[in-house]
Amino acid sequence: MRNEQSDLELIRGVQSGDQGAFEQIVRRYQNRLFNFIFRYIGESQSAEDITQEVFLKVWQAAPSYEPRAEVSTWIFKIAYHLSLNELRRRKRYRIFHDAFCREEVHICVSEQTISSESESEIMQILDRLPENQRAALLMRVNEGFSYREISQILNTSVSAVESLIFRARTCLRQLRSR
Amino acid sequence: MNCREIQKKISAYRDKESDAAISRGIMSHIAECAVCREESEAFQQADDLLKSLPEYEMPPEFAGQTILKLQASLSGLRTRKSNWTERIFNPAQEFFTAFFELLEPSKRLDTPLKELGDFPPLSMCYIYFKKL
Ligand SMILES: [Zn+2]
Repeated sequence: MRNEQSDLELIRGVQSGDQGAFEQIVRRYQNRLFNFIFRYIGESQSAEDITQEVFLKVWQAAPSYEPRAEVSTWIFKIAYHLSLNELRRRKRYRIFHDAFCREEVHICVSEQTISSESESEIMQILDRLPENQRAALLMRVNEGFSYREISQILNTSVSAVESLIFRARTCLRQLRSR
Repeated sequence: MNCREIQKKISAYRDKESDAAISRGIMSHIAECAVCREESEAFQQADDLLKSLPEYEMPPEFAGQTILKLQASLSGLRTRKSNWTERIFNPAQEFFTAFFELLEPSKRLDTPLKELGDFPPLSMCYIYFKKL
């Protein structure tokens, strides 16, 4: 049955141009990716756009996929890079705006997706963590990746990941108790 | 290991990423040391906070739209469109660069304007008119 196909089989399908396999990858990963990207960048519309962009990138990059890394690790690596680009783009935009306009500009406007008070509080705390600490912690706690997998996604060493996650947790506790 | 060393390693220990010897050391220490036990519980609370975030589901039409977008890009629609926008956008960008430099030559941006090419044109216009 198609439903039982492994990630690797599906990516092999995508490599050979099978749009059905591509659709299954989309359905399998869409919620996970959206939730990760949303929590990482803090804005839902961009998160949805980036989620879509990730899948188009998966299609483009599939021919060069090598099964040295898990498919999920590979997909999250793409997601992390596109999301990081978005954060950098916003930062440039803020610098640009600040240079020419006196007033404060809020890039993150009203957030419709955030449904509860406590969620918006958590998102605000997350937003104050350094970008790489936030990414590493979310990948560990919410996505269940191992340190080795996170090191592949962030392109760093396992000991660096350990340190990022330790600092993120410490930071989270301090911010929370404020 | 003393408390300070233990507390530095609790995070990885909780993730089952410590090697066996260190894990045993931490486990027996925590069993006896209330301070480090509390520390471990505080890490747990930090994780619980993240795990309490809601899990969103994509709208049912998302997958279909993604396939359509893929098909559009495969049929070359997207490339043609972006060529068209580039033809308009590149000269506009050059104009803005020159324009801003003329206004305030002292205000040098760290980022060349070219990198701002993906910003919505409306906000560029907004800045333009504010400047006027
Ligand atoms: Zn202790």
